[in-house]
Order: sequence, then structure tokens, then C-alpha cells
Amino acid sequence: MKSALRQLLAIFVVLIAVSGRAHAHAFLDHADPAVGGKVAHTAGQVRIWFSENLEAAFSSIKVLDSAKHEVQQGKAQLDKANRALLAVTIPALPAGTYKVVWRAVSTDTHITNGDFTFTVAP
Amino acid sequence: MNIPLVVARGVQYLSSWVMAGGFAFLAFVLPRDRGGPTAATGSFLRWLRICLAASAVLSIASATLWSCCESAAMNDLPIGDAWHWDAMGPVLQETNFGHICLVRIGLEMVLAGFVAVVCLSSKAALSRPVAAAAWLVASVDLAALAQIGHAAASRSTAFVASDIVHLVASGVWPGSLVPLLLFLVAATKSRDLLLDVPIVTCRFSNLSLFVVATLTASGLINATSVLPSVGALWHTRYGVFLLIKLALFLLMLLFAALNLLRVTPNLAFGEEPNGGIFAALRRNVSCEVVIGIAIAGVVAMLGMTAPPR
Repeated sequence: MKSALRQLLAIFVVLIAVSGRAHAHAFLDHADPAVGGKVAHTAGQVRIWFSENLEAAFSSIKVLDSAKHEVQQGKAQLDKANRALLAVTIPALPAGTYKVVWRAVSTDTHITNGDFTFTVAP
Repeated sequence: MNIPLVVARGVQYLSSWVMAGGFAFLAFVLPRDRGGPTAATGSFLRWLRICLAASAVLSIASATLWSCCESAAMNDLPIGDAWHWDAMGPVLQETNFGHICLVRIGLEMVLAGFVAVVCLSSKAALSRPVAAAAWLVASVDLAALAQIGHAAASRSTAFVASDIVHLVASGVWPGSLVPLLLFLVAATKSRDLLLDVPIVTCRFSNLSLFVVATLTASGLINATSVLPSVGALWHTRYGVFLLIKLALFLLMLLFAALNLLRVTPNLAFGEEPNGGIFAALRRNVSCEVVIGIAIAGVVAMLGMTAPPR
């Protein structure tokens, strides 16, 4: 009986140690181009890494130029190997400041929005 | 605050608990006579069937309302427009929530069918193995909630496993408090049922002790998975809801302890309980049920609140 209790206690401690942290709302972890960053040329995509897995159907990225025209091509897609990575294709952008507006719906259905800018300065 | 979503989630938890608890009570607590219910349990079973049927209907209705609320939020539409297929279709077909929701509604329809067809028509169908099978289906339905909650977003298998254990345990206790209360109310009108009160109370207490220990351990694992520090309990909205849930849980335990330490020792198998003791037992269980309903409301709020970062 005592040994069974000891085993249960050990399992409990291990589960606490490995259970990880939940944020539930998907927050921007980092992005490429970086938040507020300056790039010489864009790599063909705007990529955002979030803190949680996302729902592809309802998560989006828009890239706006200084005249507030959308410059992204097509819908944002989730990375197949990492469901916390959302990316959208962009053409080669002329110099200027661009605003990235994102909407993230996490697996537990919570919705977050945000935006950031980056500058293209060849 | 999204009131329809709070209501949908709260009713969903409550009805799923009662459904799992009802079948757990039939399978693990109710005394049996050669594999079937005793003749004395007839009046109680009538009430339990009505309760299970109502829970089945409420669970399907609240799951549907929950889907509509999520469709409204995801599509950024008023709830009145969110149930149209153009909006609802992508939610049900393309999201994790939609897939789990469809599976759960399917399971709830199976349980509703079980209650409607089998329970209402055949006494033999209430044998312990059949009730245990129905409890298993109801438990899978509850466990699936872990796949659309905070645990699912955490990407931690240990947190998901702990949440599943927590949900399944909650279906046994406090879930089976409602059938216990129905049993005690039915016993006030039947001397035969009154004679069964000591054994039912004893079996229920034994089951509850194990389940409460499981709930406490899994609850602790869940709390450490969502809270960055102890201080987050009173500094954040999520923490305050968790504290309220903990306070209500402890209050429930107080009433359960009163039954275990003061009431149960005064019950003798095969004898009618003393009037005062029986009244105290009913009063304590009624209080536990009311607190359980309040906990369902708090759990609904917790699910909608972001854990602190």
C-alpha cells in the first residue's frame, strides 16, 4: 500500500514537472521580417511565429503599404510542420514602411489581433 | 462578456456531468438484486430517467449554441447570422473545435438514444455492464472537452492527460450528486428505498473519496500548467476565477466531510435512518448540488479567460 502511494506520488510530481505552460491566447512570439525591423529586401514571405497552435481557416495576415493598400498575395497559410507558424507570400517590395496586421485563432478558439511595422530600405 | 457563450459552456459542463454521474451512479453505487435493480428502486429510476433525458437534450442544445457562439466570434458576425452554413460550415469542417464538437454531439446523440430507447423501455437494460458502458461513452464525451480547452493549446501531453482525468473524475463527483439527491428524495416516500439509504451512502462515500483525491491531484497539475506563479492567483482575472472555484470546491468538501464523519457513522445497514440524520444527509447533499452548479458557471468563465502569461 505504502509503495503504491509512493509510486502515485512520483507520477504526480513527474506530471507537474512535464506539464508545460498554457497561454491559451496566441501571442506573437517573433516574426520575419522582425517587429519594427529594417530589411534590405524581403524574402518573399512575411512569417509570424505564435505562442500557440492556430486554426488556419480563421487566422490571417495582411501586409499594407503606406497608402494602406494590401500587398500580400493570397491567404496566409499555416506551416505543415509547425501549426504555430503563419506565413503569407509578398512580392518584392519597393522601399518604404509596411504594416503587418494579423489575426490569430488558437486551437482552443481564443482570438487575438495585433499589428507591427517593418521597413524596406535597400 | 459573451453571455450566450457563458450560458452554453456552463450548461454543457453541467449536463455532461449529470449524464456521466447518472450512469456512474447506476453502475457503481445503486444496490443490485441478481444483476438488475431492486424492485424498491423503481420510483427513483423514473426520476433518474427524466433527469438523464433532460441532461441529454440540454447537452445537445448547449453544444449547438456553443458552436454558434464560436462561429459568430471566428467569422466576426452577430450570433443571429452565425448559424448559417456559410459561416458554420468552415468552423465545423476546418477547425479542431468543429471536429471535436461534431464528435461530442454524436456521442451525446448516442447517449440520448440510449436513454430514450433502452432505459425507458427495458428494466434488464439497466444491468450494471450496460450502465457502465453508457458511463464510458459519457466519460469520453467529457474527456473530449480537454481537446478544445486550454490544455489543447498548450501542446503539452501531460497537461492534456491531466485535464482528461480531471474532466472524467468530475463526471463521477460532483456528477453523481444529482442522482444521489434524487435517490434521497425518492426515499422520503418509500420505506423500501429508505432501507437502502445506508448502503447507497456508504458506497457513494467510498467512490467519492477516490474521485476527490483524483480531482485534487489533477487540479493541481492543471493549475501549475496555467499559472506562472502563486501570486497570479490574486493578481490576474484568471487566478481570481480559479480561487473562486477552489473556494467552492473546498465548501463542497466541507459538506461531503460532514456526511462522511457525522452522518455515515450513524447509519446502520438494513435499518431506516433516524429522521434527523436523514434530514441532515439530504440537506448536505442539496448544498453540494447547489455549489456544483455554481462551479459549472465558474468553469465556463475560466475556459473563456486567458491564463496569465
